[in-house]
Amino acid sequence: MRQVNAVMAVLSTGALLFLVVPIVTILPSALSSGDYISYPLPGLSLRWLKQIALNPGWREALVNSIFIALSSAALATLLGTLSAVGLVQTSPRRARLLRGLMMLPVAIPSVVLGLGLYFSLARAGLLSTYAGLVLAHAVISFPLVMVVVGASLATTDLIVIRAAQSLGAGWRMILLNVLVPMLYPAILAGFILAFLNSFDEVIVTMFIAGPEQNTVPRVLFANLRDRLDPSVVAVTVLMLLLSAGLGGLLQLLSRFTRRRAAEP
Amino acid sequence: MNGNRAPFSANHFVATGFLVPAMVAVLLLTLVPMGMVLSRAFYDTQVRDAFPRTLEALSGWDGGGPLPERAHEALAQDLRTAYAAQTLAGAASKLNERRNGLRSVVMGTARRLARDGGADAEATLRQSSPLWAEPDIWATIRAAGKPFSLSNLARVFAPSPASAEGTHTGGVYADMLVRTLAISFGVTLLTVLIGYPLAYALTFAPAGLKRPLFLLSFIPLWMSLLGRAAAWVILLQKDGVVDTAARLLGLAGEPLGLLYSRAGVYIAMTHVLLPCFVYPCYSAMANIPRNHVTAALSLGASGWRSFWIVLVPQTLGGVAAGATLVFVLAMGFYLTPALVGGPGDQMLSYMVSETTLRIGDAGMASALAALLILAMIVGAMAIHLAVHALRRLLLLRA
Repeated sequence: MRQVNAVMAVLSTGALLFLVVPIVTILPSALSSGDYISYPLPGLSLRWLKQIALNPGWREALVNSIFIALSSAALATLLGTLSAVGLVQTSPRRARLLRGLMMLPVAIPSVVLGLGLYFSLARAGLLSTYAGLVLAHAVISFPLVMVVVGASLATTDLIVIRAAQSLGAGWRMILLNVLVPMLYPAILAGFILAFLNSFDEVIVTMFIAGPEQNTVPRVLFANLRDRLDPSVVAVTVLMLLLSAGLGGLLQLLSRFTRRRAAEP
Repeated sequence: MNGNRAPFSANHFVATGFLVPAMVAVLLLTLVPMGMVLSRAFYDTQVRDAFPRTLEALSGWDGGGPLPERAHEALAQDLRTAYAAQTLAGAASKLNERRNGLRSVVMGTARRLARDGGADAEATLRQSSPLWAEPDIWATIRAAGKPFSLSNLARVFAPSPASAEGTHTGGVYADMLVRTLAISFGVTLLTVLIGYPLAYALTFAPAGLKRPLFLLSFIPLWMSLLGRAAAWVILLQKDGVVDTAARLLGLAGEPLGLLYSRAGVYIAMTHVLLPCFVYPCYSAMANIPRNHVTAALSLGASGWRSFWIVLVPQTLGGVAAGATLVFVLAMGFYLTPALVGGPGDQMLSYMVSETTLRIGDAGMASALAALLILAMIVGAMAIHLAVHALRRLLLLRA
């Protein structure tokens, strides 16, 4: 077995390097002082970060992205939390069926869902509107919230619900005064996931957004295809860092949830 | 997962009440849109709506004999009405898909009718185009009038450039389906080969090494998908990081030209999808009882033998789960091939968006979308069967 482990150690080190090295090597590129992208970096400076911070196009896209991501994440958190709570109350068989149904928005390829939403939002008069974008982003994000909150519910002793019930609490009180305080790390984690998902979304957006609704991923995607300059590199690095940072926060939250669940 | 249930309302009404908002959202924002995609792929009423009188006049016609006498008059009326209502162009395009050049004939005839009035419908039609004397044309209109049709799907597989007016070229779509499947299977295979040792390391590494291994393996999972695709554009570009590294290491003297190439697509897609294989594969591996391998070793099996016939067969469930996930995601991939691939490396998803947003052919885009989903399901089933066969092969070798 020692031989097997040695071979596996070598192969897995290679796999890990392939996974990590490309992402790490790209990070310093945002600080390049050159006029165009070249390696090795000619020197370090903040000029490209300053450039994107001052560019009205990127700023407008950032405002749009934040607005859409915050509102759709709020809606997705509401839908996802309610459905996770609803699912633990139904019979296992029906829950499996319903869960499958609710996972559809993330199971269908984005391009196909984008095409469908392009037809249906056009019919509803919501094409090229913020409302349409927020609704679409919420529906592709809420299953993530449902999974995270559902996982937390599965490790929670739900006997407290019985207790609250026997003390005369109605469902509204149980939800707001018992479940939400118990589940809030998971709910917060779900919100962050939904935010990240919306902040990274470009395919569905491309189908249903109008020219005024430029988002950061949309502008980045267009620039990557047309003209690659150091400001595009800087935005890419910022997107990677933002998602990695919020992802790290998620990791902390999940450890926090586990510790709470382990308490007597 | 202790699977505890909480019937915190004896009233089932309340229990389902929690699910209603999400169900309404899925219905309106996923099921209805999917229904619209499928209906546009196979159901089109443009011709039926534009030619109601003609279709009615042709309803009793046997297809070969002389045309019903009302047919010419009915067609002339339909053309005038639809031309005035501006619904004719769409219907004419649908007819053109069935027979090349019919769009210009229909539009030309309608313009002449609008200009001249045309007391004698049959004579005016004949003057506009000799085609109106052919029974075939009338049969085409009648066939196109049926709203259910597989004509969009037929266009996907049409062998050669199908239109003189230069919008569609049929063979391209079928090629793209084959290419999408080939890239997806190839990337799946690569992630399995690269990811399996990583999942193994995550499972069997000494305790102190596990946390850093975990962090490094799964941080990319929640990093921006677009960001990772974009990173590869920057890495692979001419004289970019990869070219520079290869030159400094003395591996290649000149730029490798990986950006806008098929190899670049494979590299970037494998990188992006690798964690999606490792995670389910690791979950399955972690649940395997360790003592089975120990038992095989103590019974005298060599290390490699116990690896192949005791450990690997037990992990194949996880391999199948991970490979299926990677394949399904790869089939729908859009960003990475669009950014890293050249024109010859694009996948079906790209064609769906191009056909919708640039060409404006909703019927064709919908047929491609339906085909993408179908190919995805069939491919996922094929992966399941392949893994099953592999398990049997390994156990037979025992």
